[in-house]
Amino acid sequence: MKITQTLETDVLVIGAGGAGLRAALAAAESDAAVIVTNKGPVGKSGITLTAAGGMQAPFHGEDSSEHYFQDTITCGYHLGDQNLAQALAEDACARVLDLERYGVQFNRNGDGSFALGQFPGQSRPRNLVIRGGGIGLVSSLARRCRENTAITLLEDFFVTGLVTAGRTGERQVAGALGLNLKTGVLTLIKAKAVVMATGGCQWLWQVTDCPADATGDGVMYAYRAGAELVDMEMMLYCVAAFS
Amino acid sequence: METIYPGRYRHYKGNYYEVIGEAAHSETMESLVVYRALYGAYGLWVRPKAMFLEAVVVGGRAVLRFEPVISIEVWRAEAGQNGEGYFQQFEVPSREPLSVMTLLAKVHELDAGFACRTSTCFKGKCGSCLVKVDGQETFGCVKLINPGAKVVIEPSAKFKLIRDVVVDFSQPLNTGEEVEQR
Repeated sequence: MKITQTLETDVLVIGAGGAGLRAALAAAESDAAVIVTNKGPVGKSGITLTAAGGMQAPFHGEDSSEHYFQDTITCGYHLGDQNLAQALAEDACARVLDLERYGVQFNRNGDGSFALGQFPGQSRPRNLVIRGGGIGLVSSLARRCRENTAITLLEDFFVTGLVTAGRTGERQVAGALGLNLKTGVLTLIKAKAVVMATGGCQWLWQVTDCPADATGDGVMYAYRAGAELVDMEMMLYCVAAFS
Repeated sequence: METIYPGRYRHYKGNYYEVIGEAAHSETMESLVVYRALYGAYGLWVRPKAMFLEAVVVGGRAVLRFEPVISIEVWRAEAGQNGEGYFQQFEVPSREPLSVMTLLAKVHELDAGFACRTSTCFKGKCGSCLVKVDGQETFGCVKLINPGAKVVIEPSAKFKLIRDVVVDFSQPLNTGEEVEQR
């Protein structure tokens, strides 16, 4: 099979779930040209859509990022990466407000404050509810990406691997190779930076409640290109029933 | 005991039968299966349910005496043929109900040239499994087809066709209906 199309961009984002679309908007706001690829139709495939739509942020008057951090570390039996937990705890409120700016709607109380639920593991009410759940989240972000002329969405585009360039020992990721599933055209996308925003690999297990897209392609491509993987044993399931 | 689904069954010797339903013997209350041969004189038969469901040993292997099959009529069309296409028949044996998406994957196993979507949330939420099932726009991941049944699967009429049953969700067709854009 021959490469018959070459595209060039500043930032290539692989995966158009919540993470990928948000990354694309951030890159575009920094004046970068962005290509986002997704192996299915954007807004109609992937894992984010099936999320119930809860999001935690310490907006409550008696809550703080310190409480959020402590709860996260304690409930994780001190297994969690504390740097990541800290970033999550400190940035959560700002990210919620970003999402609102992008058109995502959260449930609010009569007085206009965020409606906050208290979930297991939370020492203060901290759970915000996105209207429309995961679909509400992705459809708002996708709409913003479609409206942004700096962002090109390549839907039904299956990335098959990352490409690297540079001298031996100093090789860097320089883009990705993929198949345009609509046309069958093998395409090279050259990029100054690549954001891997694909989902997990829950389909390693025979029994899973995760969408069929969760095959870990991106994790594998990154590993093959030399990336170091962390915490691969931490697999997210949201188990509602055992039988 | 196992459910007897009405519909098409394949006898281990290769002939097809149509199960009409279960019946009770008026004197002994024994469960019976009523079925019709789909060949020759199209004779009507009854057989005890336990015997209908049992396996027989053929060449050292246990096979079902009667195996229910799902008959699929699926739309085939090349890319860029603008509505030109034809129906192709496939048959998938199954004792359990199968989702339309599972059936499409099985058709793809039988004919690697058949194009269908694979993204499935299994919850009828994401929408990429939209196809027409027996004429109705349906989310294929949550629509179950019973053993013995016949099903017609076509591409959604709301979006431009790419190939076979795959449509391009970025190109809605003007059907006069509101199409949800995500």
